[in-house]
Amino acid sequence: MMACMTKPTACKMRFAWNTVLAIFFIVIPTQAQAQVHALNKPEAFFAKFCLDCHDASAKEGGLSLVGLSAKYSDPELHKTWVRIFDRIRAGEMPPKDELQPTAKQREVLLAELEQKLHEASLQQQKDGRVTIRRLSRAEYENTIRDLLDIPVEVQSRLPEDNLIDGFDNISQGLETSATHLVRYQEAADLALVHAMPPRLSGLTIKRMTGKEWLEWRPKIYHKGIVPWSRIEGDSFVFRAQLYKHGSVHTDRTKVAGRYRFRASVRAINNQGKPIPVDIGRISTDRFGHAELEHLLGIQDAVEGESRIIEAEAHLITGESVYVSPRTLTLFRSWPKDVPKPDDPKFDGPELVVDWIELEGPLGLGDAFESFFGGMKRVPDRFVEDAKAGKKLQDWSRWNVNEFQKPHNRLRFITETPKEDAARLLGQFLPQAMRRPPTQDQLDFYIGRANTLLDSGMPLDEVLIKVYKEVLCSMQFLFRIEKPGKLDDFALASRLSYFLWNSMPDDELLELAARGELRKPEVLRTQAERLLKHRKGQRFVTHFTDHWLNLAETLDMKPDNLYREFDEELAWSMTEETRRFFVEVLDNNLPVTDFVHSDWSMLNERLGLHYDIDGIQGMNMRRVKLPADAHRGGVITQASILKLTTNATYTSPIKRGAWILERILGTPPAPPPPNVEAIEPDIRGAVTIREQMALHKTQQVCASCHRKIDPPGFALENYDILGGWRERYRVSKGGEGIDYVPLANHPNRKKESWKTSPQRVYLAKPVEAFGETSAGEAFADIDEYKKILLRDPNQIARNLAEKLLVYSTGSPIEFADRRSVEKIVKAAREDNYGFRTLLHAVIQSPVFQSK
Amino acid sequence: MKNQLSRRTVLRAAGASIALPMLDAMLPSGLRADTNGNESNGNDPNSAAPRRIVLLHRGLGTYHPYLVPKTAGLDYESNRYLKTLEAHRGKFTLFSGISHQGYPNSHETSRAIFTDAAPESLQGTIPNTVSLDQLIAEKIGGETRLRSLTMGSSNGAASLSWNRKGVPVPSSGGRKEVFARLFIDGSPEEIKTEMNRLAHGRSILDNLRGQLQSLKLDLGGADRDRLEVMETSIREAEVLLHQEEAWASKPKPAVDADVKEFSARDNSWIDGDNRWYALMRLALQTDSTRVIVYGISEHNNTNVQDLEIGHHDASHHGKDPAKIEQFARYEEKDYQNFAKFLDLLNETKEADGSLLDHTQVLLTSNLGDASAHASNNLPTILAGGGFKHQGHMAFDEANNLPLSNLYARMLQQFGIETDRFGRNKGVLTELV
Repeated sequence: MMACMTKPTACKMRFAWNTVLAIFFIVIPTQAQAQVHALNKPEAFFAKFCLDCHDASAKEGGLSLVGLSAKYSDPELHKTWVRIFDRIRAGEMPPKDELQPTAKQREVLLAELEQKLHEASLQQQKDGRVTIRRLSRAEYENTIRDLLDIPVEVQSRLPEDNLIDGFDNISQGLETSATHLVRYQEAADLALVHAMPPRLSGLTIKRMTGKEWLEWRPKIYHKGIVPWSRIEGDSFVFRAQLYKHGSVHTDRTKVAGRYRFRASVRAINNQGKPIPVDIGRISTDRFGHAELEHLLGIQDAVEGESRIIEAEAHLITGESVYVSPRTLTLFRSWPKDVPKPDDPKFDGPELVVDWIELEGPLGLGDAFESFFGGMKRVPDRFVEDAKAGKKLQDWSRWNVNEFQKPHNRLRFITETPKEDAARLLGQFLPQAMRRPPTQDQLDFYIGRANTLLDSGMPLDEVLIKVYKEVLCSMQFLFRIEKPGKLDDFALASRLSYFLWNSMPDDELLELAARGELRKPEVLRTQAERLLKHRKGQRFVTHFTDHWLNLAETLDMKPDNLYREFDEELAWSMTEETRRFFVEVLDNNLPVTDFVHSDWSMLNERLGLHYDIDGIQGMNMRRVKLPADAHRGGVITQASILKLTTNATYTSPIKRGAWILERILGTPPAPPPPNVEAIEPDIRGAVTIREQMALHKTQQVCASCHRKIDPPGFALENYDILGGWRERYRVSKGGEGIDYVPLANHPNRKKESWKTSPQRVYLAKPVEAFGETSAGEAFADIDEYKKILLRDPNQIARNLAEKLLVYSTGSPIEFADRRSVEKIVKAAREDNYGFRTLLHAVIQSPVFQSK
Repeated sequence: MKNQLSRRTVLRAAGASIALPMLDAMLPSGLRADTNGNESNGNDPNSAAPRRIVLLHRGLGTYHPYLVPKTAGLDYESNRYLKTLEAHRGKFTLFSGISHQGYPNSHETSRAIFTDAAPESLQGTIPNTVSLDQLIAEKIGGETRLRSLTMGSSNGAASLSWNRKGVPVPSSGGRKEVFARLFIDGSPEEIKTEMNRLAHGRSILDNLRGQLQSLKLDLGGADRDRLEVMETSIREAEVLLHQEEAWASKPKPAVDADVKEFSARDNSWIDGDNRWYALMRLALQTDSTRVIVYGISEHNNTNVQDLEIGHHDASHHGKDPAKIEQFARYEEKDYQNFAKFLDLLNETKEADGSLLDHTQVLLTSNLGDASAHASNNLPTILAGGGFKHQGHMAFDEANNLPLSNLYARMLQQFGIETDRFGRNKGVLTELV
């Protein structure tokens, strides 16, 4: 079927500009070059090769080179010159069919221009690449959470941030409006109320055996549980899946905080296969979360030895954590012809839960002690008695709600409120400001506290009020950096916001205070520490969410034709990509693995989806891929293939643009205004490719679409869920259309098809061949990937740029290119290792300067 | 560089003139000594009822054959969708062949549906511009308890409302929250706490201003420019807090409705949207706000009998007749809801007519034909607002009329003297 290549593979392709560049940077800035050739002057070069088309009258592409001013530092002219430079370097200009300069002529001109543009760009950067910027919503929330160690949700109260180049933390996108200022005050109120809990409960670990859990449940619920389970020793044994609220779960949390959940589980009689166990949260608002947001993880129970599964999460007050056997039959849908769990003939699979345990709130005491601690607290109405040294009634076991009443509000008992306020502010300010306060700042806030205390306000209210002022200050809300090389504290913040999406911790601030953080080996050690810390997961999530746009994977529900889309697949597909990213990062694997690898992170559900046998259970693990799997790399992962469609049909344009933007770093120009939209036809008679034929013939489309369409075409073999297809799926029969019972999904469980009226037919064959913009033909995705892999520098360059943009908050400018090349070189010398590249980014002058 | 310096100077000059004590005009009308109509709020001095505007946005475009009649004018032959609005014939105008100019074919265009910013704003290379509702809200200022309401059903609310800084206005919250803010009085204790909070808020803004001044000494030119933009934000925030403070102690209007009607769980999206509409009517009727933006989300088929597939799925029908039928059912129900909303406004009598007569209600979509992701030929209906409605106004489907020509007309109808909005090329002169 794939035999039809449009052109023989005779490719004298130019390697875009990347290969040229490697040579080119070794050659540049020697002065000797200035007199090499007259054509190093742009005017001479233009006159000879360009003016036929780009003169004042023809102005091809809207560009006239006649009398183009050499004011390289003028912002608008600079952009024009960079465009000229890039087009000539890429070999796109002069066009193939026009008079060509020699390699030497081209090189000399480019060297001259590079130097000029570099200098001009440096000049533009003299106040820094990035202007003062506020925290993004996500950064704000993480910072508040880390500072106060509370799981407060504040993002939804703040205006959305504008995305620039796909990222939400870029200076230009972070304008501050009046609404922000008003909402920051509300968010601070909310956070501080959470931070000052009515009663400080210490860390607790509460473990229940399975049997104890059942006994703890009110009798009225037993009839929904007992017939579907049994007790074995101290363990509870599931024979069916129960509703989440009826499943084995912990007691509700008394205070919000970070918690660790553990459970000991084991599978029985499941034909040697693991039973995946959901760990999820039960919210007080039981309909508050979509199903997948409940999930804290899915982990396998195996036969034989019990194993411990665990998850860590921020829980709000009143939440509990449950476990549920994912693959056991739901009690409500028990089939008629199968013996029920309370039938002696029952011989189905079972899940044993020996015990469950909830530990937490983790770390809460620390933040409280630093910012509110060191003093005795008693309910308001006992204050006088306490001061008089009288014996007080035991209030420690009162209901939490009691402390909300004004006369029971907890008050500090202290003889020295001003000293206490000064001491606590001395601890709070450096943390909240992410650097030591100046004497003026310290005096200001201590003065505020003293004034309020003098007015008779109790210390707890004073602290909350002054802390709120700090949380609404420039120093908390903004990332403030002075022009030039970053000082130690600004560097600490840059590193922590890069890898934790949040404020620096004590260790970073201490190293900054000692002036040691800037030492390359210290910075490196710290970067490693941050990545390995649990907060390092935020880098993985946040960076992949924006670099790959993974955040949008599950936004759209697929067409009914794709009935195989279930919760397991939805959960697994994003998990694969994140785990894949972590695997590459942790093992310093080459960045080319993002394009293609001979392994991936899979579980049984993805194995089914990708048609790869021999994977059991829902645990994600590294799997070596069969040679003919058509998988490997992120670009052929289900998550990416799904998010680049509109959930009904695939769009080669959307997918092609995604590859250009996210993987190659060569984003296509936006479509010209008022182009006629293509209306796809999913009835099967005409394919999207046939409809896109116009791109080839219309010159205005072709200039961009010869770059956008090829990667999109190569990915046509993947349907909207990333399943492999050789023919398009349709919902109706017709001429040349065949009914297939299970489409391209042979192992699909039969029963769900019974309940679904949707029938699936296969229509026209998929065509995935194409030709790159450089004229190289490929038959399918496997060949296309090989073409991409021939230029690992570009893949590394793109990632270096994306990481720099993300970590510094500013797009790449011309003057940054030399640094980028150094980063690429460092990676190249270490087999393009991703971790090496990440460290090179952190060590680069771009990262360490404003 | 020279340019930037001069801009800064202008900003500084502006700063000096605005940083005066609170002006009388910033206070709600009820608290002012002179309660006569203020020209800047866009009120018609001859009418006792204030002017209002409601902007409704629904995603996913339309199926044009069921919406656009063959002929223009009031005597159009009704079709599948317009049948639902038959009772209101003469009270609304359907526009065909109207859209924003030069937008790419994508969902992203909802960000600019009420702003008409240049297409580059959709790529984020330039900031978005101010939306129609916020422009009007600025004029109204503290006249009403809330300058505007920005709302959306469930998850479908894209950012529709934008301020002058290109920042999306965050949602006003859920139905229950909005109802409580508008109609449920706090206890004296709560009001006192709130007043304290607002006063403290203003002193926090003072602190912020002081911090800006000292930062300016340390930072470079580009940063200083940015900080000066911040200064205008601080001033605007002061006005907001001051107005909130003025309203905080005023009793809220009593309405013949219970919060439970709005907090209860929706049986389906149809039910949900109707409750939102009921809440909008109350907000307008009590003059709690005069400006509302409401984003109607993509629907799901839960609990609605004749809907079998999701709304989004149906909209990308790819010419499949079964999907088109499903899509049409969604749309039909949307228009039925819309008709009920018009009923509500129409039956609410005010001086000189009905609430509908004093409320411009615009319903439009970011997409024309969603199946093609086309951004032209946007299904657009304008109802009420004292216009002389034309039934169906047909413009060129190949070469659309700028939607902002209509927006500029709507601004004028609000009493704002301008002939500019977005990238308009003139003002729609019909409808008078």
